[in-house]
Amino acid sequence: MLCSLSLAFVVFVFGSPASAPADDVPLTKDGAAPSGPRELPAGASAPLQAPVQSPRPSAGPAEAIAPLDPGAGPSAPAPPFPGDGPAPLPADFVAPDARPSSLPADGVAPLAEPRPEASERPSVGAPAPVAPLGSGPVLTTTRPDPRTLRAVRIDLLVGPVWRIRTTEALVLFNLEAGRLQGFSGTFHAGMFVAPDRDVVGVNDFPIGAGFVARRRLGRDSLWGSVGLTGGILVHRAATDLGLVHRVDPDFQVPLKFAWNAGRVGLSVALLQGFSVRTRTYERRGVEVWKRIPYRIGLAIGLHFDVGVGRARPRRSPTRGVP
Amino acid sequence: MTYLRAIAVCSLVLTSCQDAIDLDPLDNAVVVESTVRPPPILGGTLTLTADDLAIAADPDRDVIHVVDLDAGEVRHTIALKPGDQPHRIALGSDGRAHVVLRGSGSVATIDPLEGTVTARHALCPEPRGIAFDDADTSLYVACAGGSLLHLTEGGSLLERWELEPDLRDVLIVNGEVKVSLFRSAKVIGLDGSRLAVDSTSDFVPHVAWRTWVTEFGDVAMLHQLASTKPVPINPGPDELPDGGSPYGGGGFCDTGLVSTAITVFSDGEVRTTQLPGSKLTVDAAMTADGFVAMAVPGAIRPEDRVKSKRPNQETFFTDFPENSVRVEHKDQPGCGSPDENDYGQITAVAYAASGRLVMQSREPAQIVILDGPPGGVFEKIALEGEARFDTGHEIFHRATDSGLSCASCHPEGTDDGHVWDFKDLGPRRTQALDVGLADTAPYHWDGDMADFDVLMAEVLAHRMGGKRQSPERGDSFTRWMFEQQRPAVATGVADASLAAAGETLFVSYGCATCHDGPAFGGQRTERIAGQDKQVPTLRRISLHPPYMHDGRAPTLEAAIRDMIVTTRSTAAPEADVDAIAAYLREL
Ligand code: HEC
Ligand code: HEC
Repeated sequence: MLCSLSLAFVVFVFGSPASAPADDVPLTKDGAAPSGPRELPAGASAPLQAPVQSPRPSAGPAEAIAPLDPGAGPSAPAPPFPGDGPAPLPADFVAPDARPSSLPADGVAPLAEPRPEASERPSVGAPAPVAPLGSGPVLTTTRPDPRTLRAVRIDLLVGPVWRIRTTEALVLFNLEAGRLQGFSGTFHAGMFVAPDRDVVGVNDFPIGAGFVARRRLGRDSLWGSVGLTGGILVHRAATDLGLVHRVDPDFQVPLKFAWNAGRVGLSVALLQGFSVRTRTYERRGVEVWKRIPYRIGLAIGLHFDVGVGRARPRRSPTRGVP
Repeated sequence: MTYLRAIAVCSLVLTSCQDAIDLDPLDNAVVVESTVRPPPILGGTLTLTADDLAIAADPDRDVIHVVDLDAGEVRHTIALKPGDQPHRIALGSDGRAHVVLRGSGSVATIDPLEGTVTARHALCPEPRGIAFDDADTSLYVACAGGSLLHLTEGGSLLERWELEPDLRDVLIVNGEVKVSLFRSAKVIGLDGSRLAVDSTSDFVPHVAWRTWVTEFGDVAMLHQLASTKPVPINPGPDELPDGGSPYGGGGFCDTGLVSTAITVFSDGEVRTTQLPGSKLTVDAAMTADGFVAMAVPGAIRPEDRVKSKRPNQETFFTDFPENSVRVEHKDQPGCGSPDENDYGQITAVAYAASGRLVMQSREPAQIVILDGPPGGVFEKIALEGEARFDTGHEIFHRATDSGLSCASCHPEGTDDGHVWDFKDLGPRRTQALDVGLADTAPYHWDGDMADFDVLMAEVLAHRMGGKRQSPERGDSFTRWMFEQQRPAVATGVADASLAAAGETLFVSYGCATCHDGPAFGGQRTERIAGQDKQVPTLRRISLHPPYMHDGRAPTLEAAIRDMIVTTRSTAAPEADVDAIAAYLREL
């Protein structure tokens, strides 16, 4: 019983985060492909052409490349977009210096996605229509690619936490800092309030840090993230013997969905945790309280994005510099 | 893949870590071992003379104190020999007093006015009860092995009867001699008459601590009642009584597994009063109007109380300090009365003619005189002697949350002859502890208690609801327990040649292969009738029928027959059984 549980858990804990980076890896690899930089100039202007309501910012630029490519070199796209055009262009030509303008830099990553990437995503479908539709630079200014945005997000979550037979209450504070889309470091601190408080009144305090991988899901403002954290679970119990404190190692795999509405949003989190040790209390040799190390919490709460801004571009010799 | 497997193995290993926190309070008070480790409490060591002298025997210090109650001072402290263990006292003629010496198998005659021992007579291995017959100024002494001796006051033997083993108090009721039986709580007469306490649906009488004759010529007995209900030893969390333990308790006024009772036998009528909330009670005295004072050395002392340290959790008991003396009316018993006084550890009580209650405290050694009801003003008279506070002794006698002490089931540090019905385990007869337990580990019939540390945790803390003991206290307890060994109680009647023949048969039947070692057992586990059981010791075996772990053999002869049948293919000739029985009675 326990064995199968733990095994299942292991697969989950260590499987999920592994799959998340896997998605990203091809992207960067491809981006670093020799052919990528060549197309950069074209790419740089591509976002500008992107439709105002680009459902997937990541897919958009990639698609844009296709039509533009046959068209012409770097200078070709410039004329149709006089207003915004100049910004990307200098970036392209004098890569290191120009980058601070950031706009082209944003373009770099998505553009790096070569054609094959586009073909891997049939859902986005016909690239052709995109280009003609592309009309507003507005999007790029108001909604930059989230992968290039750094974000500091604070989550305040509450909800039930299930262990095999008991249900505890959870309050969690969570701070994530990193890319809006991509990896963020995460730190959390919270409190579980255990039921059955007659004999032992238990509050557990999880404190942990780790990383989350976040990306936009579907349209607009729905975000999904998965993470892995390690830390401690401080166990504090009021008993007849007085206060008992114990510390267990604690691991958590937070699976979070977030809806944004400006800087505030709604979060729903599925928090799977494992605190290594089973903790039991016995009175007169009879087990009166027990906590198994596995837990699954369903928490709901608000998040606040306290600092969203441009990330400093990553230094990469293959980006921006032809 | 290997990674995953390694991770899986690691996590399995990690998950198997379990950290169990025992919420039973831990007693880590300093270990105190007195120079001479005190024997288990015998109770009832106090006698008052008509002119208000208290004669108090002190088995812990081997002295007899003579105290002038009116003057409030000690007249004499009479020293005896080490190990004498003076116990019951009978007042003789000419102001003399006769004191039974349990440890040395004799009776000492003292002169309380002079403070001297005038004579000592060796009588039998473990004399227990003594009575003085005014009619012919003779003495009756009851011996544990079953002999009742009739002596002149000078100590020469007049007559000798071999009654049943385990005799305790001798009474002279309207000129007739009666003797009580300790474990079975009966009173037998020389004419073969028997007085027995009635059993109830849930309780059977056992352990008659004290039997005496009332002013009205009735026989009164302070005894215990043992529960016959199944006793849970592995209860679920919901079966645990609030504030109690698997062995019961938790309520302020409940009758636990073992409760105390007073039975008065008067002309064909037997009246038993069960006392709720009773702890180990070893002596009682009754007034003419039916008030019974009881010595309760196993009371919980205020410092033993476990107070909840959780916020807003009050322990129900805190308002009811218990004391080691209790006074109840025998017809309307209460549940003990709150009493703030500190009388010490009371082991004997007596009412003076004036109505004052006189009590003897074991530790600190003192006589306490109480004029009114408990809780009122009292006078203390300190007695001479070294302190005999001892950690082992304390753990054995003090009450737990269930109301029980070890001594509740192991009275006088031995056994109660009761077959308990343990849920999940089956019937188990209490084992005797005064047989020399050193080198007989593991303990219990099934050998499931590896040592005293395990036994303390499992029995004292978990089942009884006592405190867990620190390793130092556990060790001290073990040493105390190992010192408890009483001599054999040879009945003396069995003709020596029969017993000698029995010894030969014991060897030739192969009994000695299992019942070996200094205690004739306790050395190994053997399979008998399909069950693995620790080979029991045969020391002092005659004292505690029924036999076998489940009490299936009511008599010693039945036990021997059972043994021969189960360990050999031959049936046993009755003559052999009798011979072996004669031999075993001498162990
Ligand atoms: C409810 C009555 C009861 C109480 C209270 C009790 N015992 Fe016992 N004791 C028994 C019984 C019954 C057995 C046999 C149990 C078995 O075999 O499972 C026994 C067996 C033992 C033995 C084993 C002797 C041997 O030869 O193996 C020891 C030692 C012992 N008890 C010590 C104690 C101590 C110490 C305490 C107090 C902490 C205590 N007992 C309290 C009833 C009791
Ligand atoms: C194979 C080992 C073995 C042999 C041989 C053996 N016994 Fe026992 N004896 C035991 C065991 C084990 C018990 C406990 C059985 C039980 O409780 O069910 C026991 C119990 C007893 C008891 C009861 C003790 C008590 O405290 O209840 C007596 C008496 C006894 N044996 C006498 C004898 C005699 C006499 C012989 C020789 C005829 C003998 N035994 C041979 C192992 C043995």
